[in-house]
Amino acid sequence: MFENNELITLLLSIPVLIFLLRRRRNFLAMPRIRILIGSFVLFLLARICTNAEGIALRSELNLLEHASYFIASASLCVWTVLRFHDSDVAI
Amino acid sequence: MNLIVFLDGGAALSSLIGLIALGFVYYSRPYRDSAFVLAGLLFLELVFHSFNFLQWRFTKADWGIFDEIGDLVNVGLPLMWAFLLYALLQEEYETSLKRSEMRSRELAEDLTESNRNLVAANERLREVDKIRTSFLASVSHELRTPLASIQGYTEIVLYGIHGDVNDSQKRALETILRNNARLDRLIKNLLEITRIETGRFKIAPRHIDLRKPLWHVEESFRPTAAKLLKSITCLVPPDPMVALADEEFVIQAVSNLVDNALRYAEREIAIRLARCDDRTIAIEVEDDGTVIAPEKRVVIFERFHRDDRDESGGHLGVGLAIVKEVAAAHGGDARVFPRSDSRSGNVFRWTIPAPAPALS
Repeated sequence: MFENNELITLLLSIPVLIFLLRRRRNFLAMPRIRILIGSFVLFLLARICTNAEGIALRSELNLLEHASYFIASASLCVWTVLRFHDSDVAI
Repeated sequence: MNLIVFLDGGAALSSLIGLIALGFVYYSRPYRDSAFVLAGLLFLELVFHSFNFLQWRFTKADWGIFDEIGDLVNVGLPLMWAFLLYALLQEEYETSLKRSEMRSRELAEDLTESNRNLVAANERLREVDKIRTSFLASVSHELRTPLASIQGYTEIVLYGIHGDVNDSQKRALETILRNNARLDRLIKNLLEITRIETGRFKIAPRHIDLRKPLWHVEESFRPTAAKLLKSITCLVPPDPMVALADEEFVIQAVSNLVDNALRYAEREIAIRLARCDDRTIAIEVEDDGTVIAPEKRVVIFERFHRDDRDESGGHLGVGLAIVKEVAAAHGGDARVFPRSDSRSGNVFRWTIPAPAPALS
């Protein structure tokens, strides 16, 4: 079954995705932004899996959700560290 | 199950590493808004993944208030993502703006430098021009003195004051006088052009009968025209035609026009004086040479312009420029146009304002 907070989280993530898509030209001009975008997309995938596991394939989707979280967090970490090393693009 | 615990633990660890890295930089460098938002996001991720890890690691535990905190964190994550992306976008705009400003400043500096160089180059050019004009004026002036002497002594010999001269000697002496006059005209033109360039060009107009200077020009050019097997005629009205003009300059300007016409005419040159209307008198010099191309009819009056039709290259290109200046100084204008009939040839027309009827 769906859990309220997980559904809310998914619904809140969708406008962020729309914002990202609408301003993709501006975002893609930033250095190494693809890592950050990848991280967000994985975060969104994890949210979708969390909600979808209430309908079917519970264990598989659960595993995919946690794997997505892991890769998303690792990507965000990599992006953060890379941004620090780039002196021209101080955060 | 163990794999999920491992993945949640890894995610929490990654968030922690990111947060620590961010913390290090926070103390070593001035920061922007996005750094704080990023720190917030990493912190929420750390809490979220740590809770996940602990939940999966100890499934039997009763989480109570921590569950609710976990839910709140869960909802806060997409909001933090939104803030981070917005902050990054904002900073990108600011960076672009700063880059543009920097580029504009650089361009402005380049422009200032170029302008400074241009001013310096201009100053140098002005200096060189001043030296050239001064040199030209001195040389022209110095050349006229021996020319006057040559003319005087040639005339003495020609008129037989130092003894009889035969016909052959007479012809030789006349040639000397003719060329002397030509050289004098050239030097006079050079002097006038330097006066024009230095702004010292002035005329002294008074009421004169314009026929007189035209007759003078016709007389002085007749031998030269004859030598070149060309004819020169002066067509003026029977009654005096008075205008406010400087006779010396009228002679010089019309001489320049006739000299130019002699260079390009096939056989005939005509000097005409006529009233255009109540307000204007026209002096025209007409030749039967090649028609000047329309695009050349203005530039031909520019200083040091060399006519394409001139194959000998034996003139300075200042004669017509002086005509233009003299015409302007008299309140008129000089221009050239083809003869109205279908024959070849050009008409150089100098218009002079006619004085009030009472004076004329």
